[in-house]
Amino acid sequence: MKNYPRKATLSNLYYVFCFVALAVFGTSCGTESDARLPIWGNRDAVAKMVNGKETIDTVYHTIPPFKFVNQYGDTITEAAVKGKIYVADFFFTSCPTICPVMKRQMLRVYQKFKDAPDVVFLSHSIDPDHDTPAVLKKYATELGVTGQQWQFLTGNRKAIYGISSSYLVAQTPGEDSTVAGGFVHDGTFILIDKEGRVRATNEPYVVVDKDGNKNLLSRYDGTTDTGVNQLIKDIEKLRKEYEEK
Amino acid sequence: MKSLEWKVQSGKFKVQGLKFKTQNSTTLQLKTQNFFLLLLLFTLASCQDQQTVKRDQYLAEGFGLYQTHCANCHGKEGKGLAGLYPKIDPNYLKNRSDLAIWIKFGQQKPVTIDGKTYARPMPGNAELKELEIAEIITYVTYTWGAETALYPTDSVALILEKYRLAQK
Repeated sequence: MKNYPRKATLSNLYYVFCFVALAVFGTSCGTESDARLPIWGNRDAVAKMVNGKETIDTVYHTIPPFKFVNQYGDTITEAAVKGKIYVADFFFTSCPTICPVMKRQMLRVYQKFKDAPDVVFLSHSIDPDHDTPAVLKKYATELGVTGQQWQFLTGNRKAIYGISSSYLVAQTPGEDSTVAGGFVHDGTFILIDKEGRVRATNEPYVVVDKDGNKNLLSRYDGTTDTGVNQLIKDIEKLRKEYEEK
Repeated sequence: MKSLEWKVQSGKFKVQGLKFKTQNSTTLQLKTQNFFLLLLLFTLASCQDQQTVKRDQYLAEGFGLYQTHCANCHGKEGKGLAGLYPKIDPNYLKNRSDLAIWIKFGQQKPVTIDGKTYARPMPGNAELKELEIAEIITYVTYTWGAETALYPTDSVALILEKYRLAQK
């Protein structure tokens, strides 16, 4: 024990050095790749003339214009989210399964960013026949939500189901008499930036559809603490991105 | 060497005291009827243990079932969700026979908890079996109520049958 070989001590030092180097480089690499939140959806390359030179511009997938009615009976269009970061989801008030879980989680995000002028919430009802503005208002009030920051939307069923695909949800909402509550949808929260683009971290989670197929989804799982903690973190990151601009 | 001296006094079992003896002989003065009393005592003790084990099984199963069928609205910790869904309130856990009907068939009447009224109907869980309902009741009344004993499956069966007959 006393006569520790010199060679071994040297190699120990070498390992320590490697470890420190790895830690330093590892973290610096990490911060660089964390700088911007990835943008999702199909993108197109468009040729543009700038100062007489042709340059290639990337056109990202964005949420198309929409027109719905909120819990106060007011018409809400894309103008309500123009220049704002927002979180969208799909639910219905009489849903006995994942919606209460999603709303409990969304409430957490709402309370975190309450009164932030640049953060808005859009909850779309996929049961618009039942979820009239009055029903939505009662629901919002009982949830403890007042004011304009969190919009509960209803309207044309086709339009609501239609816009869901632009939010890149795994399960297109729809009627299904075989499930509790009568409607299917997934528990995704979608983060949209000020340009109307879908943003999210790169970590996918598994969504199982009604046929038992597993799909990987890179949005936020609104039914879990981990998914929603990530969303809160990423909203902060996105806000910082705009502050730096 | 020591020996124990047992004595039966007016039907009660009593340890008289310890006697130490220097001789190598052990004198355990145990009459036949005393032996049976002892046996009965042990049987009772192990019975109680079995009841506890069964109760703990009900609690473990009940916890899982609660998380699956109840926690969506009432919350993992039974705290409810704002003004939408009520917390699991001890006052509503006092009458355990009501719970079986609520869990199986739902609950349409408004409830008032801490001065707040909750009017959203609670959907029933028709798919739940009597054993599962007993496990849920055992879990919620133990966790948020004042109960410590398990709620028997037989009681659930009886109450649900009575309720069904009354509906006809």
